[in-house]
Amino acid sequence: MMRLLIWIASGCIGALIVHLSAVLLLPNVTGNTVAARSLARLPINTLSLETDGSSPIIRFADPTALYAYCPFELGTSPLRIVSAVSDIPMSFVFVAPNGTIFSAFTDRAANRGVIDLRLGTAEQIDALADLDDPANPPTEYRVASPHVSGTVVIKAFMATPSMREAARDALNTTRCGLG
Amino acid sequence: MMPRVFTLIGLSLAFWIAILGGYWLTVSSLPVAQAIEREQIGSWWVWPRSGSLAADPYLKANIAAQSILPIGLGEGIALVATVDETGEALEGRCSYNLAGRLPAARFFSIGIYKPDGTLVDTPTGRHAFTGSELLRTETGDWSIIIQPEAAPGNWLPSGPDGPVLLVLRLYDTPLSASAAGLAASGLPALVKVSCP
Repeated sequence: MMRLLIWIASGCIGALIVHLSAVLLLPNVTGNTVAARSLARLPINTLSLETDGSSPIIRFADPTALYAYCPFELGTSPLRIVSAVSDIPMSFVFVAPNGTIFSAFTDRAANRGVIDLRLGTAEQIDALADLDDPANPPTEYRVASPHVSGTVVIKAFMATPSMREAARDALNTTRCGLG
Repeated sequence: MMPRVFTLIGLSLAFWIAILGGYWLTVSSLPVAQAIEREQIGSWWVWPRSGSLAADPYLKANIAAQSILPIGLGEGIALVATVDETGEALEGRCSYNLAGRLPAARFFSIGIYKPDGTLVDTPTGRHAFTGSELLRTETGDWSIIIQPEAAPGNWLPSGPDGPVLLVLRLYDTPLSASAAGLAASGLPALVKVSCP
């Protein structure tokens, strides 16, 4: 009887270990995160616009926003995103493969009417900083990604449905690619 | 021979308790953890750390399992209502009045969803209001009627039946990092008007 209780207690401790491991591993193995889905479905290092109002990538998408995705692989060089500010409010969200947001900001962060940013690994960002001219500091934003891959979600907000085309134009004129 | 058999049975028992128990613990704890980690402000719930690296492992697991993209900490904040002011679950067939104050934000939207994250089937195609779309009184007050039948003013169709939920998104708001300190009086109240 005593042995049976010891085996059951061991099983319970094992269940706790399995549970904690599952919670920690789930975001990395589910393949169901926003970043994992866009990496699997869309071209890499290129901006892809949502084709209609219902988002195929995100659940609970904001119906007053159009979404574009730039899944990235930073193996060879940093990613550059350039977007001109317009009347359409925009936001930029950087998502790790496990679904965690590691940076986000809106177009209010624009410098002289342009969002110009580089996304790279910590090593790539350091390498860029080494090339900077101290007398002429760069105007671009630099975001260090904790992962080599992930996705950038860019949203363009429509104050009214009639602004859909303007929101689409805002996303169409946004560039995302290695360089 | 017999002790060896008992050891094998014991090992097998512990193994299956660990696997099945671990699975059950994980499946049953994720919704509980999601409920524990939220801050409640009136009818609204908010997960203040969901849009940052500071999200805890249970919140991250929930976000991953549900394919949700939270609003980033530097982007704004989202508040979710699944119940009215009295704590009763929101039903698509009922009529609700949403009115009150809104925190300062550059852009906001109030959308209606089914619990699975898809948009409610509506006859008009309207699933949300933005600040620019709201009809206001002379004093700047506003209210939204949420019900299946058409109504004058700001009507947000709720679909014929089944549970629904509202998501209030505030973009470019100073609240992003301090939503937990928000008072219920600073958010719109959700009052049930009638229910057939």
